[in-house]
Amino acid sequence: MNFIFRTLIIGVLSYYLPTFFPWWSIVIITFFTGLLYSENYFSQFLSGFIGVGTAWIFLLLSIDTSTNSILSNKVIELLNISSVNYLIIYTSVLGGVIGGMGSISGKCLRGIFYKKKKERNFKF
Amino acid sequence: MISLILVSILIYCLNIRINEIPPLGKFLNPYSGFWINGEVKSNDPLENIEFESLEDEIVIQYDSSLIPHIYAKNDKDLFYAQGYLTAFHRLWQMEFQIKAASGELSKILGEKALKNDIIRRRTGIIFAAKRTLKKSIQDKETYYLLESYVRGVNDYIKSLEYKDLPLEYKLLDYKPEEWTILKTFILMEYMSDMLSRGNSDIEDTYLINEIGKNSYDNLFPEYFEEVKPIIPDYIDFDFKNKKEIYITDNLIFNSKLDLITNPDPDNGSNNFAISSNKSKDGSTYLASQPDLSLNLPSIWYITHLNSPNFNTMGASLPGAPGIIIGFNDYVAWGETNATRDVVDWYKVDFKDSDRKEYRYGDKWLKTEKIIEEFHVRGGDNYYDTIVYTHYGPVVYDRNFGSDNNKLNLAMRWVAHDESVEYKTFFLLNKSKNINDIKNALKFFDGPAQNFAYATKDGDIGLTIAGKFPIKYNEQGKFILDGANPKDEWMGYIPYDHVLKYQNPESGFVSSANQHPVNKNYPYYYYSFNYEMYRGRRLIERLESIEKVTFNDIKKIQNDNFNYKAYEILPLLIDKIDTNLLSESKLKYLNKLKVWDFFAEVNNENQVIFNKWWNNLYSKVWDEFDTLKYSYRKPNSFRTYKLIKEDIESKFFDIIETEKKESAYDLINSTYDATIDSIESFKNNFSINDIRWDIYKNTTVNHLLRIKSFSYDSISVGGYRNILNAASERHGPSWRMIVKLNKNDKTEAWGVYPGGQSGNIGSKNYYGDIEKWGKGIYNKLLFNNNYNENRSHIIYEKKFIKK
Repeated sequence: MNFIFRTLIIGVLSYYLPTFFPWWSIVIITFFTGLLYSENYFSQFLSGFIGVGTAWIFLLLSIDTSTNSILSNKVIELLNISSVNYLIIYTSVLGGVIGGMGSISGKCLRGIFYKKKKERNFKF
Repeated sequence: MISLILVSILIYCLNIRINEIPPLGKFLNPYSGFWINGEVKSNDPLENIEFESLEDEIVIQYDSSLIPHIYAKNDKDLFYAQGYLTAFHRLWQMEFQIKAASGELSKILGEKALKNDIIRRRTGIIFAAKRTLKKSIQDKETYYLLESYVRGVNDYIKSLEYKDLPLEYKLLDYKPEEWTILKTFILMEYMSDMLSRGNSDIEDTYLINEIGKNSYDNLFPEYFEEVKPIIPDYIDFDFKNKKEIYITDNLIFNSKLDLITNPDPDNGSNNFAISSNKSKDGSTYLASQPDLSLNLPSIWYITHLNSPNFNTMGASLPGAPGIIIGFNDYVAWGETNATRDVVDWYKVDFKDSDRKEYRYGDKWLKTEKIIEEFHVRGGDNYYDTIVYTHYGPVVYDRNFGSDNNKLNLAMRWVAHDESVEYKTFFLLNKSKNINDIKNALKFFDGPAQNFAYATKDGDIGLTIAGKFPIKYNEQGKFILDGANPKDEWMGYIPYDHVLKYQNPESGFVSSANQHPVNKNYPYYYYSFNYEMYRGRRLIERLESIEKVTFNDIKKIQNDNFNYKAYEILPLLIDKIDTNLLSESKLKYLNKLKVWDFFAEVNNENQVIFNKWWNNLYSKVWDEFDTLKYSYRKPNSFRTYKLIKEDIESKFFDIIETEKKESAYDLINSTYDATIDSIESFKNNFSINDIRWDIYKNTTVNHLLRIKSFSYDSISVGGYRNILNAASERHGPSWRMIVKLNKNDKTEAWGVYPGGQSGNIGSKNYYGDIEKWGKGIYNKLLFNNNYNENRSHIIYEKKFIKK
């Protein structure tokens, strides 16, 4: 449940928020979810990856349909990619990887805090 | 912690451009990347138009061709809106053209653009623009109109965030800079560079050294008597000028220069005006068709400007206020390039290697040195010292082009002089009659143009406007001696003596880049590159039609008659020995015999002729390939005359072979080879006929030459030297026809190969390319009151002063 909830939050936030902030603000979203939830690295990465990746797929599909693929068809030729679908998949994977890395970073930082806390507790 | 650093590095890397690859994250992300540049129906980009500094209210409309109609209450608002709206559709192109012209491309494209940049700086484009700017803004009226335009462009630039930038900025990862009045003047110099820089002085100096002056004169005549000049022979000149004859010593010269490429020799055009007596419906007509390199976004942007002082429409240059080729309620005008040698090269003798002084008569004159700085993306800055003499910049010297340390050539170019061209266009745009037009053209220095014009009063006329140096016979055909004051230009032809005529009895005026006039004109003129076919076809067509209709004019602009083939092909066919031909080769020959010489889209004869002629031409002049530097060869008309009048000429021999070939041998063997290659082409692709349009493959290229942003395989007939001059990469960049009738409103039609929107993600990006190929025109929407446009528009908004 926790995993699904986390992924959903990431998905929804990264669908809407970066319209108002720089594109890389997706990292900040996944970073904070990584920081807030205690889960293992794999689960963290996966929620960031799936959350951002899915949000991007939906975003790209909606943009591409509403623009009749006029532009994306030209860009795939430029980037030497065989179809618009691949371009959408590659782009989403890129977004997913960045998102996942953000989560892991959050998790790492949490790890540092958590350890410190433990040490302190031990002293008292 | 490491992971955090890793993410930061990753994002940083995805945000910068590495080796030509766009910054992937920045470019691909769905919030601000290229995806956002796609135009969405539900969110019309026109809704984003927002003016910041208006003095009064203004109404903007767009018609279905995306042509803006600007209705302003004063001229400042009018040109402010023109600047804003042109940038709205064409910002990237506007800026890129200026960067290319002023030699600042390497800042964006890196080292590969450095050579172009050095050439532009050395030919003094910015130097020229600065001088013209200084002179032009002394005229207060011109200044405030230019200033308004520039403000409009800048207000648009200021309104942009990263996500709104044109795609090319995202792809190359850079940002638009502020627009300036200087940039608008650099645009004019860019046009000069395209239209008036061509010359062959250095090449020809080499040629006379190699083949002698007599052979040179024989093979490269200044013009041909067979071609009718722009100014008809019956025009007399009531002024005199003593043509100086002065013989200079020819310079001894046989070194190899890495020459700056001439502008495309096909840059030309045709225009004509029909008087009310000559037209069937009693209207006057003006037709204009500028042939230029075909690019996307197009060099033209169609605009309608309306204010209490102006109501004018037509083709504007993105980056320049006003209308360049167009019409208003009373008059219409169009330009073709007036090819004329306005560039000369002076050999400069420096006193010593410091290059601080150079010889001039018995004196030493001081030079001025300018150090040009080039910002090279991804590399170190590059510096180039350019020495200026009183002639102009020393273009070729020890640092550029020359393999010989002693040769220094200074460039004297009319475009370097201060001038006020924009005033001409502001005046033309509001001209009411033929006198207003003639007055406007007084201020036009260059690039020299043949202005054809027609008025509602029924007048037609043609003026070859521009600043032309007075020269002694053959002055500047070859390299001149910079140390000899006698080689200096002797002033300029006064405006009253400039070539012009109006309301001729024939009922029409026309031009198509042929030589301007016969030798009765009391001034020496010259160009290495006069056209020999289009002008004749145009005059013959106009003479043959008794009463001209709108449809005739359309047909003339789209005329595919191959005059060259009409003239040469019968001569060639005549010399083919049919006894030696195989059956299939005979079949091709018989088809050629009955060809009507029209280069239509599906015509195979045009393909065969074109291939055969190129083949033959290169064999005839193979002698030139044996020269140390094969700079240039005689033109096609000279070649035709050689075949017609001098069949025994030694040039028909192929030097490589021991046998002594005759013209007959060459014509037969090249025919053979041509048909062989045509047949093997057909076999390879298993086709029965080769279509001309597919063979020549007319393409409109994106300015960055990116294939997927370009448009190829356009179905269009014609070719170079044909009125419908659509060749591989070049052709009629705007077809315009205007009808002026005393009792009617002005009507106009036009089409160009491209779209108004420069946005690659717009469905309008390719615009009317297909229509243009087929010769279909759009009726232009032109009303003095915006209420009358209502049924034809897709957008209307009234803006009020903020």
